[in-house]
Amino acid sequence: MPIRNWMIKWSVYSLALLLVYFLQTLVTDRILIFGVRPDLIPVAIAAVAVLEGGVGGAGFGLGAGLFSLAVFHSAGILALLIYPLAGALVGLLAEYVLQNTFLSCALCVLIFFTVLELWRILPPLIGGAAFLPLLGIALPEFLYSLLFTLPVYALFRSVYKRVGGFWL
Amino acid sequence: MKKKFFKTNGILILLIAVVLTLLAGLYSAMFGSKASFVTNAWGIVTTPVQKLVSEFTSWAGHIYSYTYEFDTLKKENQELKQQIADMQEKVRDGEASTAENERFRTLLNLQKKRRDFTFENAAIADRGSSNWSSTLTLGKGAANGVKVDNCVVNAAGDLVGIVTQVGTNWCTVITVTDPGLELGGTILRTSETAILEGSLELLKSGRLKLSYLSEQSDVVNGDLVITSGKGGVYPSGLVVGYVENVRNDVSGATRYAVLSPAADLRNLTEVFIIKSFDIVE
Repeated sequence: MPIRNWMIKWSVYSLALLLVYFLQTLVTDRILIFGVRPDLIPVAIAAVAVLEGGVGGAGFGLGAGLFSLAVFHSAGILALLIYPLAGALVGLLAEYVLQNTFLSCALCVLIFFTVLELWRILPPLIGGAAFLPLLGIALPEFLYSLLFTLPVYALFRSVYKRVGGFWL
Repeated sequence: MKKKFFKTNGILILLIAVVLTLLAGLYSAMFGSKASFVTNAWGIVTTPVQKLVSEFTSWAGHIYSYTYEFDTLKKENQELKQQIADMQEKVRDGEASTAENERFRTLLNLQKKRRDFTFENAAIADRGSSNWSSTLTLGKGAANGVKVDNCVVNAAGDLVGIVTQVGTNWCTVITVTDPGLELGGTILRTSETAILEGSLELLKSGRLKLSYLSEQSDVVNGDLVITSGKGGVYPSGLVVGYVENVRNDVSGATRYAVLSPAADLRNLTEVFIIKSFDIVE
């Protein structure tokens, strides 16, 4: 793939990520369900990883991690590790086991969020926090974020149809 | 033939015309206020035509004026619109200044009460969007003398949070509802001291705990809780919130009070960082 096409492709993906970010900060952050807001960036990473495979997923995960670190002060430095890793794993799963369909994406988002929520729960749990209050945040966050799999996947699928592919 | 007729009768015709004119003048002089039959008949026929012509002329005049003045009116209209926009902007600025003035007046009252406080006002640059913490990012940092553990209050002096991370021109504040918050609190009515702490359980509802209440504690709903200042890290006397209810701990051994923060954390736009204070224990 020529470098110019490669740059156009990932620029369009970045713009779509920006759109997801605006959706999260301007819309969903104001609509709390059970007191929580959804986390859409991991959904975007899973969608791109399913469509673009392991390498593309890892790259996009790294970019999304850097972006999260820049725009969300609450995002920890670990986002730089977790997001690319998850992007790579989901991408490889889609590449070799599943297909790049919505159902695969939904399954990958499910796995991604399970790992992510465990990652969020474990430190306070080890620190002595009660399990139920933690579950009270993790479960609604997990389910609420899952609701956005379809629109986010549809967005990135439309990008993929126009400029995606070539497993780069 | 015609020439011959005028040559022979010309003088006679002229004389008749002069006589008729004189008679008409005489009649007009005698009955000037009343139109003659001929004048009247002429007027009846010509007046509607004159009226029509006059109306047409007037309409044409308006059209001409409209066309001629349109550009001037358009320009004037634009100028007026600009003036309105400028005035509206001034009104908005005025309202913002009034609100800011009000905040500073309230702060001035606090400053009068607590002369030992050194304030640094700061705008809220960002609000944390995580479900696991409650943070604010402020637009002031180390360059402005802000340090970790500085308390942040609103204009009324109600505790908003504590600075946990400081950059050159920014700092991060955990609010009073964040699970990471922990400082000494005192129930104003009874002077009983306990530990103020955020909790994951109460984070979603925007509340915090006053933990480790003694068995003899007679805390009641509505009690005001302030910072105790014990340890000298945080200033004393800052209003934290009001007791909403009292619950038993999971173990059942101790009780804790659920507090509603006094500061309206959702609608804050500007806060004040307490950079220094006198330690009073």
